[in-house]
Amino acid sequence: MDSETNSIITEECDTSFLDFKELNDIEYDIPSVAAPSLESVLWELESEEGSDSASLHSLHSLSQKSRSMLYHGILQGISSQVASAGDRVDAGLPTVISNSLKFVAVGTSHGFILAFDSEQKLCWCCHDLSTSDQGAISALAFNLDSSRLLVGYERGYISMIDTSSGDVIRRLPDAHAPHSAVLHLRFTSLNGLALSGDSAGCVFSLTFNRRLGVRTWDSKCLFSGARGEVCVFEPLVQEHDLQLLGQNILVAMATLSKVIVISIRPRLKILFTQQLSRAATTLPVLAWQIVSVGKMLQPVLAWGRNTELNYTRVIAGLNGSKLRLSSLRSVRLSYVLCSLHWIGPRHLVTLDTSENLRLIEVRTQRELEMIEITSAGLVYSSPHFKALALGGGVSEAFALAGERACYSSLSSRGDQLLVLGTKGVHLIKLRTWSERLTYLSDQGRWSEALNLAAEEGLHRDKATVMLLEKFFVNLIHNGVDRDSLTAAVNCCVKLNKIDILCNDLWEAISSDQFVLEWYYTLLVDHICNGSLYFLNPSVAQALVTYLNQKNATMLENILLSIDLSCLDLNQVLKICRKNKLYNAWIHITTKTMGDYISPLTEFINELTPDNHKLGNTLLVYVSACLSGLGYPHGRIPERDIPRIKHDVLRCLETIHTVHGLNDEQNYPYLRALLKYNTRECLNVIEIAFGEVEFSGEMGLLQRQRLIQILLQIVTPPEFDENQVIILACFVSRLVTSDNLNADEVMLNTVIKNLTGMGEKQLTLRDRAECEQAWIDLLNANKLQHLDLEDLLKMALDSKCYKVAENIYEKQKKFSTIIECYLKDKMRHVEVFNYILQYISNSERCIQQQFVAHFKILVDIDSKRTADVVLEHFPEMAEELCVILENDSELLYKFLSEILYSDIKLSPKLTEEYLDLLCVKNPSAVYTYVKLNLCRVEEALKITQKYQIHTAVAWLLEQSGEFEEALTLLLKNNSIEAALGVCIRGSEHLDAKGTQKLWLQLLKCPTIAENVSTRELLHSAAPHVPPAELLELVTDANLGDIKTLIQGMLTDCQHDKELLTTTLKLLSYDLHHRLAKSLCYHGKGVSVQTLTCLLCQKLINNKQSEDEKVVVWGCGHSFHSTCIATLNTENCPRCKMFATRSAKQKPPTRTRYENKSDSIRLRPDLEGHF
Amino acid sequence: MANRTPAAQRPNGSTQGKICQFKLVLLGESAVGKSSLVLRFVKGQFHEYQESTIGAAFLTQTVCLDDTTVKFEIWDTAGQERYHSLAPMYYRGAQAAIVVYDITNQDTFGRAKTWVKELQRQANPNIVIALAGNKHDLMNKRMVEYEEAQAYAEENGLLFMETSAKTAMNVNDIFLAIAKKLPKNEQTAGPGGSGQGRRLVEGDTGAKTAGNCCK
Repeated sequence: MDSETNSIITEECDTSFLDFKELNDIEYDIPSVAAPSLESVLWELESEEGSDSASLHSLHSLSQKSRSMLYHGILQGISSQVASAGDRVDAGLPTVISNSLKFVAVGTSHGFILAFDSEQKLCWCCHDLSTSDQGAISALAFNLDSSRLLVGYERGYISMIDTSSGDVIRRLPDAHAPHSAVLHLRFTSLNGLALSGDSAGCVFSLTFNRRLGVRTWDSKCLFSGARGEVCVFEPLVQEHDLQLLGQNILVAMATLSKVIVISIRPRLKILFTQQLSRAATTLPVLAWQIVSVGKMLQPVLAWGRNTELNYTRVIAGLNGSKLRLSSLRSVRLSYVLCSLHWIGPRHLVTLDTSENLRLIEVRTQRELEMIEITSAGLVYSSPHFKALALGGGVSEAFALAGERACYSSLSSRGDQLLVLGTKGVHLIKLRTWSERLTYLSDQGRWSEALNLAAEEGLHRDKATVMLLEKFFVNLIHNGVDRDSLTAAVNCCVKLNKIDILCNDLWEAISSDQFVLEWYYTLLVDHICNGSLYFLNPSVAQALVTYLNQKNATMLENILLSIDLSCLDLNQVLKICRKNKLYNAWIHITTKTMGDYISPLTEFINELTPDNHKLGNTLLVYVSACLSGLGYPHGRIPERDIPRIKHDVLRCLETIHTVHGLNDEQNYPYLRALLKYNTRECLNVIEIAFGEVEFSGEMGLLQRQRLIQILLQIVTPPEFDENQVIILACFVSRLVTSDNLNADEVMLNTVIKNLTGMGEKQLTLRDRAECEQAWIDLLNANKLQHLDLEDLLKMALDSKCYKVAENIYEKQKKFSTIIECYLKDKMRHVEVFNYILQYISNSERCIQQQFVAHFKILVDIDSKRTADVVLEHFPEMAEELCVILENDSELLYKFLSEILYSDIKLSPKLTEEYLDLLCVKNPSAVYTYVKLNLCRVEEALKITQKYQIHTAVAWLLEQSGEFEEALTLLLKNNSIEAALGVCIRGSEHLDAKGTQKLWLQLLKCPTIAENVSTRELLHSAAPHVPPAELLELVTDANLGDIKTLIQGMLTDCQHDKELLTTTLKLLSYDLHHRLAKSLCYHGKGVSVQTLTCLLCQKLINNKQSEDEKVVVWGCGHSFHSTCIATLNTENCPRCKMFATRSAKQKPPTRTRYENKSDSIRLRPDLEGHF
Repeated sequence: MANRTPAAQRPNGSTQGKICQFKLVLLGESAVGKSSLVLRFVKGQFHEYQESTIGAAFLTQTVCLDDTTVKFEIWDTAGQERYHSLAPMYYRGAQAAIVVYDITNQDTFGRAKTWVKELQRQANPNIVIALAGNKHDLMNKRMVEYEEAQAYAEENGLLFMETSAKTAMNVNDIFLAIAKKLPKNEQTAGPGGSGQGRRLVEGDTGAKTAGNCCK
């Protein structure tokens, strides 16, 4: 909706802003100027494209959907006249094109200017002889009123032409920098102000005046190329009646590095600059458009370079004050921009370097369509950019960027774009919605056309209806395919053209069965998804007939969602009845006739217990009605609810049907429902009792009446016991919740029903409910008229032990409660909960009962019984076991639970258990025996009795009889165990015993079968001498003994190494000590005094040759004879000054002295070597 | 579809004119012969034991009238009392109504009068009402005098005919009379205008059952 209004606004603004329509219509309608009509243009275009059919098809499939937005045609009139001008007057090739509201001007390479009006008629041709030396036309610009045309030449000349006559009225030979080509000319909104740009990159403003009839002009440099060359500029031109910016005149300029927006009037001012992306080979592009943003019109500048595209808008205050620009968005393109033009306010056309025109929706930035215009032979103005005619002199950057300059070969106005090609002038135009419809329908692309109509055709009836009519005509002549039929139906549904859908379209296709079926399928889809609610009765009738044959379920869905007033009820209701579409039948009957009873009356005879579809339907229906809800969905009008509730209830309570036969049973409806499913039926009633109608005093009566009826109906033998009990439970629930005042009679009936089950088979659920109901009644004190004893008897008779338990509780006869549990097969497991709950309650004598029923309890759950015993009666365990003595099975179970706990039991019991275990579970004996709970001798006896060898062996082992154990095991071939015995044995026995053990094991003939030799040898190696081991395994293969031998060899090697190392170390030590000793002894000792300090005589007094002298390291010397008398190891002198000498001399010295004391100065080395 | 040419299919050679579509509703007591009347008009058949209608049945028939094709969308309502509440749904928006009574049963005439009253009160004010005294073949058991009914009809501005579905007497005539009386100028001439294809198909159905409509 929003977009719709937008488009209307923008279209209006279009026409006021740029009157392109004038050009259009006339152009298409009048074929006078050798120009063909639209049709022929299209045909020509298509034939042209058709020459390359392969590419056309591929393109078709690529963008089939959107190839209708852009019209691409050749302006034959202009093209042919430009061509003939070239031929006849040597005008040269076209170089520049420009268009205004009234004219299209084309400039040529030989300085000719041809102006055409909107009918493509040549208005005038101007060839100014005085400027024939100025070369090609390089720029053209119309002013806003199309009264003046500025012409720029490649050699720099500028002239102004009066467009009404084609006469030159102003000449501007030197309006800008010399030796530069005119690249751009643009008028601003003012007629007296224009701008020119040249190949030097300068921008000049040209002002025109007329004083006293003399036309004058003036030029002023706005922007010098020295500071950055301007490639392109674009003034914002707005109609005089559009005063968005007041007096401001904005110009957007782009240099090679920046985009700049300046205001040149009233004051020169820079408003905006931004850096451009760098790409040396591409030129920047600019385009202004006035776009409606919401309800405001705002100028938007689209600008970009290379692959970058930006939008910037101008925000102005009142009357153009406070101008500022703000960026809108920035987009990166997948191609390189060459040219950029607005085409209408919502679309942008871009041209890339491969000459593909792309249509872009500005809001979404979606690329809608692409056209290749290579065939046009686009004119590039690179020679002008390089100023070739002036001998170059252009900066290199400028020349390089200008390689693909096409600023002056595309010119846009409103929603059309002119493209100047060497062979002709092409028109690219945005089709309006209705034009697209026409175009698509003319091409036979019906589905696209119809989908387009469906998308945007709301409130544009005329075009859509015309399209549909055209479609029908085509359909009659050419038949129809599925896609277009789908689109047509979709279109009709979306635009709510039910008449057309059901009359014209239906009739047009009704002869073709195949198409008709597809049509029905489409209708079904639309009805099911809720977009189609009403159909013409004829179509509805046919659709029902069709679906009746095909798909009954679908039919029901349709009937539930379509407007009932378009249905032939006679037909539909009969079909529903026949196909058992109960939901649809009920829906229609209740909604159209407000008849809520007939669903019950109509189907009552079909309601058998097996007819689940109907049964469930009716139960839900009754429930919905009694709760005041609509069935199958929705709601009932508020005011009808009480009536409907009343009606349905009355119907249920009806005693006989209207046409009932004499043998009919009473209450047929309620009876049938109860018979179908008593439980659910009662649930429905219970839910209904929650409604207002059943509350209060009147409601109570209603309830009671209904219950009376129910009790009357549900009686054996027609209803079986289950059903009777369900009802009884239902009633008792009501009674206990005080929702029913039950008199004694009723209560007795209920109790009778509840207790009457006796021996009969009941489902668990029924039974549980029944007992619960009884208990609830008891607890609610509703059975006070009955004696508890009687009730107890009844309960016990009917095996309602839970009830009995309850009564016992009431009577405080706790001693029998456990019995109640035990007798009830369903609940006997719960007895443990009971026991645990009341175990500390002495009043209930749990312990006695427990002991009394111990056997049964064990039978029920030995584990939990054992838990109870362990936790509460551990001291009684022995006693309890006695009870079980006769029942070995139970005893075994019980013992197996308690034995493994930490309870102490007599060996007798443990041995008894061992005995049992040997019988029941021999495999567990071994582990049990290992627990050491039994006496060894006894256990040995028992296990030997049952020949549990592993256990016996273990026991033997325990008593130290390793050999016996081993023998036993070997005999029984349990080698693993035997190995274990050997290993353990080695720890306990002496070497000899161990060896014996191992040899016994190894000698066993079967051993190799069970254990790998390697493993065996490995285990045995430490205990058995290798020689014997090897002997034993002579028959073994190398693989098995390899490791053994390797081990032996390694050991040997190791030992050898150890020996050599030890020897080495030893000799090293010795050597070291020797060396040290030598070192000490090699040192001299100075003698301080030559007298023996003891005898005070000279030492070398030559008295005797054999006199020996003793010298200490401290320098004191003595006669050996003297010192011998003292019999001391220390220096007798220094001894007195022991502390001082110790400080002064290292201990080694002292030790050395000690050593040296013994004899001589030279030590005796012989002893060491 | 394409092989059909207008000339070959149109016996009357006329019907270049417009197409009018009218909603017509039949009302009346049960068992007066509404369904039989419609069946005779639409299919030219008569069943002695016509099942009673449930709710309402829908049928269409096209008649040619001078240069106009009139397409009737006929809602044949059920006469039983329990379906009475349905009737407004059908006579609301109907351009024509036929109120039927049984000439052998005075009560049905009385019921017909109440229907007329209800229509005058509740239906579209421009509705064309026709009164049909059915079962003319049972003249000998007549209980409602022709004059009486005639007078009542005149008094209330109704079309009136005595008809017989069994003998087909006046059946087509009463429908044609209604068609004639219906305003065709301001009537939306078949929604969607006059497509060429539309007319072809309509001419076709007209021709198939033409026997009784194009006298």
